[in-house]
Amino acid sequence: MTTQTEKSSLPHREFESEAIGHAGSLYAVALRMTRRQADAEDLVQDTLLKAMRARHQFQVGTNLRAWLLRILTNTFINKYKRGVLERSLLGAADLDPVSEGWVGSATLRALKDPEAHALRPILEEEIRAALDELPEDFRLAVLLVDMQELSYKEAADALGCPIGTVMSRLHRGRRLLKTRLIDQARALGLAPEVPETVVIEGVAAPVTLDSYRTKKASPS
Amino acid sequence: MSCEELRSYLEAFVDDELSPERTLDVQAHLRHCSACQAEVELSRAIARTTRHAASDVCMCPDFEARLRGSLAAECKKLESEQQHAHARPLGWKTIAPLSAAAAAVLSLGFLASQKSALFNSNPPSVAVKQASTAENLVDLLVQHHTRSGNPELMDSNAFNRMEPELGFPVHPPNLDRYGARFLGASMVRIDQNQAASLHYSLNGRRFTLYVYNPDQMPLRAVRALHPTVVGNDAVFVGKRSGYSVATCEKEGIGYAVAADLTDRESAELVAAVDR
Repeated sequence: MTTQTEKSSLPHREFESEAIGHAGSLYAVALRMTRRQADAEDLVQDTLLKAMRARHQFQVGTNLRAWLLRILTNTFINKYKRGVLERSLLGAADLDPVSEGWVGSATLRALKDPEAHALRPILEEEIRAALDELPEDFRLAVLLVDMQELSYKEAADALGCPIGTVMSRLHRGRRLLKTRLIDQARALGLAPEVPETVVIEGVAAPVTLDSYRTKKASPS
Repeated sequence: MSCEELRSYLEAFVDDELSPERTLDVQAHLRHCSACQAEVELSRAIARTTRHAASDVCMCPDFEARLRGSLAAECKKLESEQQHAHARPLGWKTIAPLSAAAAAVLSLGFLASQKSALFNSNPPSVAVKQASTAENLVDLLVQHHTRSGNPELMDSNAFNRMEPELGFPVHPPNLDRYGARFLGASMVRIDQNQAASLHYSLNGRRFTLYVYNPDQMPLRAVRALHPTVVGNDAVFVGKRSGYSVATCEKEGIGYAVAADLTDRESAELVAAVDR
């Protein structure tokens, strides 16, 4: 009734029903973040309860989903994130290069018109598996920007890091996904084999998730 | 723009994060370069596939029911807490006369006539002048809060040394229960007037608490600050340049918080200084 913030906050019931409208979308993110159904459910419940209690901090007219995602990401980072080792790799690993421009037009067609393509479920399954195996920092950036379509700024706020960091994590995460997807497309006969020269051209061999795992396993 | 340049902007372009000028540059290049077009399309296609692949899940119905139940319960709890808070009588006797006036205005629901009747105890011309000076005061506080670096840490005796300069004693409030950490203090001159500035950090954010003579610095008269009641205290709170400013007066001493916090948090902090 009195201060600016109170004036703009919604009544509990109204806030509750608006927030619960986002539960499905929050759950989908939570599932890819935690990779376990039970953890994802806990995470969504924690997030919505926290949001209810802090609802006066939400400014009506701004993006409620982005605000909820921020709480969710924060809660996830505080509660579940273990990735010390994964973090330490970020500075060291040069994930480049995936060579551009050698994806067959068939792969592009398969990806562009997934509705029309019989291989869509296979490619999507591959993407899900690849997402689950991404280093956590990259995964969070990809989930917030690609899946939830947050802006760089909103993702940076949610992750508590600078915009430049979001961009670099996103770039690296996407490259890993792309490599994986292209490998899969090749295996399905959708893309031509990589010309030998393209691989040799790079500073290092293309980094795949496998080599990431190998790196993680060996002490550095 | 060369293909190489374009590739460095490609992701930001696909994500709609480029400036309008740069977007035009990229679009101009794409019109005549099919290789880059294909890259853009591929990036978009991968993002779309990712979005679809990751979103294609449903909550288990049991969980959804459980979730609705626990949210409804929380909702009920919060509502009853709110009603309880409204029902609690305020200890009017403890509020300074001006604060009481402000609180009375609040409880009367901002009737404009009431407000002017209560606040126009000064002749109109003086009030206007006072208000315009006071608006500046808030700017000065925010400027100081923004620019102040790390204050030299001070021992408790330092506050005694401030007393003769200020003309009143300063007791650093204990705000530990809010998780606020005292960083240090210094004297500050705000538009001819001496005030003490106490610097704190709270969960990585900073706030500055100013202790001043309210007769010299009539922050309560600032129109941009709105009256509210925290506990038994009348607090004036509002936003300036993105910072929240909250002020209140206790036993003839003025306190103001300038902070990168929400209005409610600032109001609570400033009302908590003597507790």
